[in-house]
Amino acid sequence: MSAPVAVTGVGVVGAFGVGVEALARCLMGADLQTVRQELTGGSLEVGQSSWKLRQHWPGLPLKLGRVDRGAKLALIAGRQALDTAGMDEPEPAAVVIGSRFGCLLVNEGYHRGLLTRGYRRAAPLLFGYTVPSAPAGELSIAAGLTGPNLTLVDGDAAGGAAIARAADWIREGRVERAVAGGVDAQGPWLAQELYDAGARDGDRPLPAEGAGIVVLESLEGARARGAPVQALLTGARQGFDSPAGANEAVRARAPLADALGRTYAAAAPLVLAAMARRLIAPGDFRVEDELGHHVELDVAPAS
Amino acid sequence: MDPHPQIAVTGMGAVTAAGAGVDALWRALRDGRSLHEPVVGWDTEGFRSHRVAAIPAPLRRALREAAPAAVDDPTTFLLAAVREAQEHAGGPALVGERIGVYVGTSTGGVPRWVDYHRASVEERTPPHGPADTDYGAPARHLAAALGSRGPAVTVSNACCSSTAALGLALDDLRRGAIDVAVAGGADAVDRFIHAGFDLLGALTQGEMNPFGEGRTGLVLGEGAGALILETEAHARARGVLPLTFLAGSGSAGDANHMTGPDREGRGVERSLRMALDDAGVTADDVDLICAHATSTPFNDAMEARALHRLFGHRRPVVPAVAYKPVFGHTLGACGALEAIACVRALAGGRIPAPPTAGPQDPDCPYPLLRDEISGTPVAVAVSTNSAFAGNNAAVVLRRAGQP
Repeated sequence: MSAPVAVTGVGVVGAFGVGVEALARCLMGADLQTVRQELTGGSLEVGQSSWKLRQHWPGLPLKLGRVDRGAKLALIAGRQALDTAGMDEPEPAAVVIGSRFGCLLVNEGYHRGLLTRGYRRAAPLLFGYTVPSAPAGELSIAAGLTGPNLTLVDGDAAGGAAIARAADWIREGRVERAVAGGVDAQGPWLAQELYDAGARDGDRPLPAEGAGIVVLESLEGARARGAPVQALLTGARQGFDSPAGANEAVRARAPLADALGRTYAAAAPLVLAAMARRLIAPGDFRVEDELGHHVELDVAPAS
Repeated sequence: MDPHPQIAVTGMGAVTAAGAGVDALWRALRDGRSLHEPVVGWDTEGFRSHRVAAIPAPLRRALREAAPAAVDDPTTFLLAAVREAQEHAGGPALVGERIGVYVGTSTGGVPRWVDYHRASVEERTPPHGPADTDYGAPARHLAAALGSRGPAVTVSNACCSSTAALGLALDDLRRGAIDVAVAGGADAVDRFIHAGFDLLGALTQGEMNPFGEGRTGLVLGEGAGALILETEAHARARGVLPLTFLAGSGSAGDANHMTGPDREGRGVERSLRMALDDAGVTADDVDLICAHATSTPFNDAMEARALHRLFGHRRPVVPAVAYKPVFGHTLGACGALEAIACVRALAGGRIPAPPTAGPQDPDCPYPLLRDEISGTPVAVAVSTNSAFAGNNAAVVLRRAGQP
């Protein structure tokens, strides 16, 4: 078994609301915030949160005010994680983020403008956000984190895979600390795609946006600086099985999906966050999707 | 398990504007001839730039016919590059469950998504459904083709994606998580990408002129590069000699701006230092630098400053090269293609000079190589790339047979 890595910070946002307390209320039965999207061919209810970014990151640099929704979710969860870990200053920590859909919502807005308004009236600034690495980049800019910056797009497993990579880098001494997790946003265009793919009303789990971000560091390092160790990550594995036409409803699985909705790449980080804050019992868990991606995280209590 | 295994490069493959194959790429680099041609695939009316380094049309058709149905161009290019790399590395032995796939890409399945989305906006019947239009599609198709059950990792860190992917493959091989890694990058250019870079003012109307005075930007390219990586012991056990070693990797964020680099190149410097440390070498050991060098004013100036701080004390000057003026800026694929060029230089002791024009910019305080070098042993090479979101990544390659 590999050396345990300490989880010292946790941040969450999703259709349950903002913060761990909102997550706890949801796990005790509170309803998710949902929006019904009217779509070609019908309608689809999706889980979508409501917030104002600057309320959750006071003093955020003005240049970050126009970031896309996925980056905003990552910033809201990231700020909570940094605060609970006691990370207030710029430092060479890694930022590792996973996302299934990446910037497809931004791509849609930029490409629609290019097609309907023409080249001369397309939005160059929007093109700058047509990279899946925007959430990781924006989080590093906002918090001054100058270590390795990595974005993985491995389906629903991407968020768990990001946490696994960050833990490996800490074990191997590449970085002392890492801010890692997953994010996927929801919007009308994506809802249409999900509707067309079969995620219609009545199906469970509900498609929902979310972000889960954790701070990871070595157990020794956490103890030396007096950081609150909330859980231990004792192992992680990422793999792939060619789906060969498997049915989505059968193949996509994640713990807590009935309560939180299907949160795609945010699923594994949200489960880890719930374990770290003892909302559910720590243990080993697996997230897999219909594309063939899967990731397993082994979580133990802090003491 | 060897706690410090050497990670060998045992096979390489490439698809670029030079054609299919690493040999075609290497010939183009030695010729020093720009492969940038007028765009024929989409309407560029109103654009400032009208050229790309595109995959030649007959080759594109042939690759599409050879690929599985319903895949995007980056996947098509990637599968062809991997087939070449597998044959180079000994072929059928490299099929199995303990293979990891590590793909860097800026666009992934997005070219396929663009076709789908355009039809939907124009209220036409789409040519295909939305399946496999995501960023991870090329890696999944490759993993399925290989029968791999190891990680199928897609890094999407824009223009340093495949450099970072090589680093993750190196990590997993060192820790024994897999036996073989198929690592590289792939990207294609379409109107979506071309318009965006043109709108940002990043594209030149002339020739790329890295580190040069009056440089005005880049020319986009497309293609794929693939490397087969395995522990030296694994390679030798199946009777294959290493071409070279992937010795180290590093990465760092600027934490500065989404589309503008740190003006002093501090992220590039941190990334290179991490890679050198990881390889157990210093700046004094380096014989070749492959720069990102996009010919954009800010990138080249900051990168040259970083190189000057790291290598400026060396005499004679450590040669630095920039190969995008030949095969264009291939976005997420460029790191793999430039690593392949470094492997060729390490193996053959020959360093092609990049095509440059006019004087060096005084604001770029590190010189690019002006004349080809041959017959000089090249033991250690570094390759560095930078990207949107302030991402930087670097790898160190070491000649086989070096201690």
